[in-house]
Amino acid sequence: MYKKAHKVKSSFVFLFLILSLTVLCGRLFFIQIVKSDLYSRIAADQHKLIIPIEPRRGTIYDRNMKELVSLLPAYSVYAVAKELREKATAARLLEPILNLDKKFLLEKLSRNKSFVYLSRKVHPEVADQIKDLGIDEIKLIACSRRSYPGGELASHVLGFCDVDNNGLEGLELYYDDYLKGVGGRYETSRDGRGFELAALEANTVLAQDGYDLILTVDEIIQYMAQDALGKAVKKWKAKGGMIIVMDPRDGGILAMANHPTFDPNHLASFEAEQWRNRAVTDCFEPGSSFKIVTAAAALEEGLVEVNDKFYCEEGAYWVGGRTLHDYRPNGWLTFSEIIVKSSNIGTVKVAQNLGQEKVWSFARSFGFARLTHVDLPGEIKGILREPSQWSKTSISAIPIGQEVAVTALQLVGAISCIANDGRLMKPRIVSQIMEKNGEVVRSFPPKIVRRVITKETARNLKDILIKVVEEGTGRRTRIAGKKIAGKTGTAQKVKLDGSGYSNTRFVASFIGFAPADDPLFSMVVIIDEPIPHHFGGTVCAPVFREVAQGILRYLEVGD
Amino acid sequence: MKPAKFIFYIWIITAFALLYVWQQVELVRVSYEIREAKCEVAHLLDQNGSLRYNVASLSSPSRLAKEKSVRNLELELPKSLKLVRLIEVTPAKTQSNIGGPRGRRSIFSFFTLKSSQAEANQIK
Repeated sequence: MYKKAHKVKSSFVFLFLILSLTVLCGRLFFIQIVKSDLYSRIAADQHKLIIPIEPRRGTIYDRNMKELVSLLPAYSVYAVAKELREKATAARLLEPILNLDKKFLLEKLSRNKSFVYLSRKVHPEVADQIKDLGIDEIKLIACSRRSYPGGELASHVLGFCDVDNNGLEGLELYYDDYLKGVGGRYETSRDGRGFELAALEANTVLAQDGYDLILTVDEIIQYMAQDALGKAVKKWKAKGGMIIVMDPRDGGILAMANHPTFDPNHLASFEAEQWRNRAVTDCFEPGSSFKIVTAAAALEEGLVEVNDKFYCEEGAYWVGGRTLHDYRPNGWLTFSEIIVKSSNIGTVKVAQNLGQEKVWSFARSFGFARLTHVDLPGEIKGILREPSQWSKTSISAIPIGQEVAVTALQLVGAISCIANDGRLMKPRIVSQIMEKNGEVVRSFPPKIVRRVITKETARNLKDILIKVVEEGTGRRTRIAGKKIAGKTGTAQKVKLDGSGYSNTRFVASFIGFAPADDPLFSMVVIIDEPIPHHFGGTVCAPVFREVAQGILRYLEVGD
Repeated sequence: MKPAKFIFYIWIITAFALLYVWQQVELVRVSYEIREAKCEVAHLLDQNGSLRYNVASLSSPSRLAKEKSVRNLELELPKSLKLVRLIEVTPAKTQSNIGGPRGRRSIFSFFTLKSSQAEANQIK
């Protein structure tokens, strides 16, 4: 009896075990074979990670390897809004730290989403304060932001980036492909706590950091130009201004300053209008500065000698259906004196002998109405109509810088051409593109665009331009012991309704180079709508003098 | 199967199992160390970036000009100039390291506080 009962019990237990094992095996078969793909995928999703490697954006240096743009650590703050319970409390605590409106924060935190950005690119100190709050649903992402240690210094040249570090203006935009680098990635696994198991890293594609830019700009010269321009614009209550300093021997831009300016570190505080690099994007009538083109053409064509005399009609000359005036009446003047005293009548008489074709072709040769192809975005080529489109007044206007629109860069290029014995150089602002390890990826050597005038013509013209400074309209540029060559310019602006020229709105300019015998730099100074004086010799020449004096002293020390 | 042989196999299997577990534990531990080292590298790179920014910012001409005007400093260039530029030289290149006896160098280097020295190189 006992044996039978024991046998039955054993059979039940055995049957139970067999059934259990069958169920387990069935379940195992279902998981491992039938649903294999699904569970493999779920497991992979939980354990496998593909982590992107962000490249570090390149740095921008000046010619002396001084850092002009840096990359600083920053954090982006986001909320797992749908899991946050104390929304009002969180908004109250975050308000003073993020300096954002409480209502704005509350609106963001009330969204039924797992990821809501609260603020982008905040300082690490702000991130620390947020960490200290201890709110689990408020999280931080490490990232980086562009910073400009010089603030407003060369801001129009450097440009700026958007919140994702993509270039939007200036060199940041023009060389974005070089600066941004190429992202990488690697695959790895994570443990139960979600921590990355770095030892299991596989299939790594390393990020390639962005290249660094080495500029031709000199931070010190840039500051001198920017400071002097700012003071001049303030002094003359002007609308704006520009200064470009160039090394005439290689076309390297040493400084490019615009006013009004902006600080790319606080972009939102400035109008978009202020971001524009007017030195390349805006054109203006140059006025008498353009006479260097007419003078160069006449000398180069052998049409005049420096001592040839022209009658300047005592200040009024009927030409092309209008009366042309000189600021001060002149009788007989030599060709040299015409430029020194900036006689409109004398210049037009020279141009009439030269003919409109020659004036036009020399202007083109000097680089006007053409792109310079400088490595900055938004360059325009200005306006210079072809001779077939000239009106009967054009021959009395274009040779003296009216009916023609140029950029400040073209103007400094033209004066540099004379300083460089007649060779026109391609302007350049980046000299090298380098890897982080210092290996040069690409270099931009000086490039001669063309020879515009002979060395002899350039020398004659230099002598005339030295006289402009020593005894002519550019006397306020004189520096004791230094030879300066230059030309003043004063241009009336076109009336807003287009009905002729304004008598109250002017563009004053000065172009020149120093030392005249062996030029180290050439410079253009433009002041837009100065008040109450408007002459280039009064408004711009002192600015040129101040900057030139500083540069000469600085370059002497540097040597 | 003899009990001794059975125990031996069990021992071998257990040993391999323990070895596997130890390997996995080490893998996790090393992973944490690598993660910490990566964080440290990122932190140091960030710190380096911040310090370089500070150097650039503090030595920017606009900041120096502001300081000059705030402190009311009257600065002017001397009539004759003599510039001394500091050049960082690694210890391997310094004269004492090149010429000095090996043993003496190692004893002295033990007491040296700085790993690199700055040399004044007279330019003008």
